Amino acid sequence: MSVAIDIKYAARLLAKKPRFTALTILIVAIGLGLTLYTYSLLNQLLFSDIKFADNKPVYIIEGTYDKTHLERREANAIDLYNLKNDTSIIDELGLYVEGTTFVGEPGGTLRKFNASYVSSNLFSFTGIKPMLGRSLLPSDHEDGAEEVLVIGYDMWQGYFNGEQDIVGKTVSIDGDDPAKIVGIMPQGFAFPAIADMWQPLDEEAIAPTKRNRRWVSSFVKLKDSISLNEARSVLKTTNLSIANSLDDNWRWLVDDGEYLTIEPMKKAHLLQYHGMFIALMFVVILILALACINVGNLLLSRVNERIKEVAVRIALGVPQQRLILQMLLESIFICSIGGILGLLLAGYGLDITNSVLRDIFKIDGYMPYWWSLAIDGSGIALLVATVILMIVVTGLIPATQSLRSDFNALLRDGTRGALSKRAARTTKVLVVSEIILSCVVLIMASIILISTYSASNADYGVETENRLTATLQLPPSEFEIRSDTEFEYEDRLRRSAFYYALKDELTRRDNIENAIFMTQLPGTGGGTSYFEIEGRAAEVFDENPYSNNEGISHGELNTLGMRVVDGRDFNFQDAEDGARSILVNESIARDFFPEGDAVGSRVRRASQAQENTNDWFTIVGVVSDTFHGSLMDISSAQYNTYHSMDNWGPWRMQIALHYVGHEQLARNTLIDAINTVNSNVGMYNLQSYNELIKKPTLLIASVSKIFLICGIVAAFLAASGIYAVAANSVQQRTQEIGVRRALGAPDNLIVRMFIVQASWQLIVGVCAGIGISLWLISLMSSTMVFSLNTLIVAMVGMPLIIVFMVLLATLVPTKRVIEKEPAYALHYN
Amino acid sequence: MSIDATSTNPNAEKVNDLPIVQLIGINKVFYADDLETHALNDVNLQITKGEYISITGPSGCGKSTLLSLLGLLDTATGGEYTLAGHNTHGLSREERAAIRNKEIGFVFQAFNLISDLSVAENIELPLTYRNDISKALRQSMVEDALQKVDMQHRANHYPSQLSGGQQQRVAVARAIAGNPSLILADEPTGNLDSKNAAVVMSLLDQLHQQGATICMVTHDPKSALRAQRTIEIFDGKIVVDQINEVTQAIAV
Repeated sequence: MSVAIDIKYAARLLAKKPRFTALTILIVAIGLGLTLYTYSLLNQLLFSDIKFADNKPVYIIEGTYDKTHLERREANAIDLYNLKNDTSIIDELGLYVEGTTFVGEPGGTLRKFNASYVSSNLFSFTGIKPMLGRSLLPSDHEDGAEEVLVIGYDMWQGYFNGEQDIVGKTVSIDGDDPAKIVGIMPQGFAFPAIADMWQPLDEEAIAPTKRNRRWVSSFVKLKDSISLNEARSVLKTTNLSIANSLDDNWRWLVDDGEYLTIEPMKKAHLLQYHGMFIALMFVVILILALACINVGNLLLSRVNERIKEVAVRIALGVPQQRLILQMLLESIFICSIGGILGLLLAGYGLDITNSVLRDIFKIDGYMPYWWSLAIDGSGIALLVATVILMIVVTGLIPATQSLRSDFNALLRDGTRGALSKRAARTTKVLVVSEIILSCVVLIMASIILISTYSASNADYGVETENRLTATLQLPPSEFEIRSDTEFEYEDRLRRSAFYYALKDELTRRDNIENAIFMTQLPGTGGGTSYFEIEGRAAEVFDENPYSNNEGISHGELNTLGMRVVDGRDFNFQDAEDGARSILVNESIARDFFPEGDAVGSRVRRASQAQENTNDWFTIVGVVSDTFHGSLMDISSAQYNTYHSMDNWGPWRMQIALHYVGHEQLARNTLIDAINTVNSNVGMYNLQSYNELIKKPTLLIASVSKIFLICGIVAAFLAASGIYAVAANSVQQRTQEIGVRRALGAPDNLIVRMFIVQASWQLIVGVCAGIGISLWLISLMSSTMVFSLNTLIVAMVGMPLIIVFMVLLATLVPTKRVIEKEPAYALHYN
Repeated sequence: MSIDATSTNPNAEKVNDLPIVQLIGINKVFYADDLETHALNDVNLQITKGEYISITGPSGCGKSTLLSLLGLLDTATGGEYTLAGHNTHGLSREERAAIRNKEIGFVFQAFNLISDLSVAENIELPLTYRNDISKALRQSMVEDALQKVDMQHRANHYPSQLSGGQQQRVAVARAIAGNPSLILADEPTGNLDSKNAAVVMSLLDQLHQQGATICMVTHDPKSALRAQRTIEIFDGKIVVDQINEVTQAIAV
């Protein structure tokens, strides 16, 4: 009954101050909502393990992540084969390669699907059986075996309209290769990540007999007794052993002891953004801490306001536990209601993120199947635990703090002056904590925001308006790749010929001005390889200059607004077998050939393995600068070199069209032109140039929106929090101000005293904040680049805002006290 | 009926010829919402150098308000106040602060020592607000003050390490360190037990005997009688202003 009275009393107190109550609940809701949202995001995208019925985590073993190209690297098939057979760490191992397959009848419309070429044990590995037909069998890998497919539920429903007799039917893939559908997997199954369909890997990938150019990734379960760290340690030894066994041609495979790596499956898919997500996690934790401090400070101020009432209650003999409970009840109300609102906020945020993710991968469909966000049981458990933690931090600590005060003195003189020194110390710690947290959150939020904005609005050196892009993939059955045979050059020319035929067909249409083909168009791709300049080679290969390299069609630079600034563009001469010509961009010419002697100079690739050491390329022209890759990626390249595609004949190219009129008309024209030239050629990722450029930044942009929300929340919490704690700090010293003034202290000395104190707090807080921010930036900088201007704005601008806020929060309440007569301050209660 | 303090105290001028404090027709009105409270109403008072005055009266009668006005901690709504020859009317905040610093020493009921400063630093604090005192002189003045209250051995302690009586002795030392013209004590024994109260009262007696001008607000009739002169306030007016015969006898 008495507890019921306490509950009523606490509710009445909160109702009496609706603005205070609303503010604190809002702060708690935002803090908890962001925490739950971020936890759900990171847990489902990164932290939780992929598990199947046997509850064993799934790992990926593959080659070391390539930071210069921001790409995962597959491993050589024989190394994974030996790893499985020669070590005792692996319980189950399956192989896969992600690919693209076009399905459709010859002459009809081809449809692109994400195909996973896999080992047949993928299905037993997951324990999930086909809903119709069968899965892949070991015999499907054998040379000469019938081409078979297992398709996913969505493909069955979407492409084959749910035909009941689809199993056993033969369809054409990649042109006119016949393949038999043998099974349909249940809805939602897309293992290893994005599979619409599954095709068997060839026998040489499954059971290689020698080292060859078969590259695969593997999904594995470790033996029960093996931890991830133990597996890493075994891989380290294995890598050394592989390194020792490699001949000169393969020595590059193990770089400084690094080759095979093992990562949890989810992390392996997000290595590029791992640092950013970890930074996000820290920022959100800091925001939660900020929210805790703010609410704690508000409740502490409230406890201080009621300190005399507490003293009276103690004098009346109320047990201390009961007093603590009374003070806790307010916190319980605030945190619980805030928790419920936080749950709703997080759910709303995850819904938005799901739609953003669907949007990002709408065109290419490369979204891993587990990227579907929801609040699960562990999220709810975290929320409850965090609410309890917040109750303790925001309620129990102020309550116990206040109970340590000298209540006898309080009752005797009834002033705040009797509050213990501990309270003043606590306030100082609160101010410094606010400064540190605000500094970190504002710096991180501003860095990500500015970088994303800059990347999305950057000048990549090309015209993007009225430009349409797509990826073309030639069917292997029609465009063979017969490497190391007498047909190799002939095959290359045939492939290149298709692209030029398509260009001619396109430019015959009224609405197409021009078309260009590139392996990766500016704004995408990006990577760096070292090159040495003839006569100027560095002693160590990686001390040479580096550039991004792309294959390019000739004569169409103006499609993208690019131009030749010196020398010439590629022409028919460069299509000759063995022709070694290269274009460089202006930046390379300016920085490495300042005498204007770029054209005519020779360069060649520089690598550790000294591969192709005699392949000198002659620079035949200098072209205007473009930028490959997102400006936020560390692999982005300002130095670009271009090779002629004519004597290379890539089987996959990007195309960019310059069109006039409506975009949709241009899309139709492209599809029609491809079908006219060769209807078996697959086309996918059809999108405008602007969409193409934004794609690499979309995920970061969506995370940056979270950072933006974090930034706004942080700015709000920081501004209100800093003002509250700093003002509280001044308020607690109101009597001291009165005493000092009574003793004759001039106003400016008192102001100076508070400014000096605030300055010390600022120095400590801002230095610590910048230090933590630098550490977080270093976490992200392995895969992301931040411009100097961005860093300056964030590292100088944000601390300056905080300095301004703190000084304002110190000056305003100090001035307010000083404006009044000293007698007011002396008798302040 | 208003009582002219100077006229009811014919002996006042005999104590000393130099007025330190002169109040003429002082009023103080507090405004809260629509409520006007007349804390002081037409107060006239003269305090001469070397005088020891106690101000008494019931709670809320205006004693502390009067002391605040005397200490330039507050401004009067009307009337004239001259302190040590300075007409305080129209003084700027900085000028008032300078006068408080040089001419007035405060002793508060709640001691009001600054908890972050040591005993010596607390005493030194008002001296640091003066530009005309060297550091060496300041230290010497602090030592003198400590000696007068017999607290030299506690110079480096912090207020929280002292008893109430000791804290009040430090507060007295702080009040006298700068040789002010007037010492204002607001219930100086209000927070002390009788033994410590007696020590503090003796200290004030000694200071008075050494020539200090003291004005003390007190509830305690015994303490009031230790002053030469007692002023009683009621409803914001001085209703009694008399020479304490007992004190005169003690002094003789």
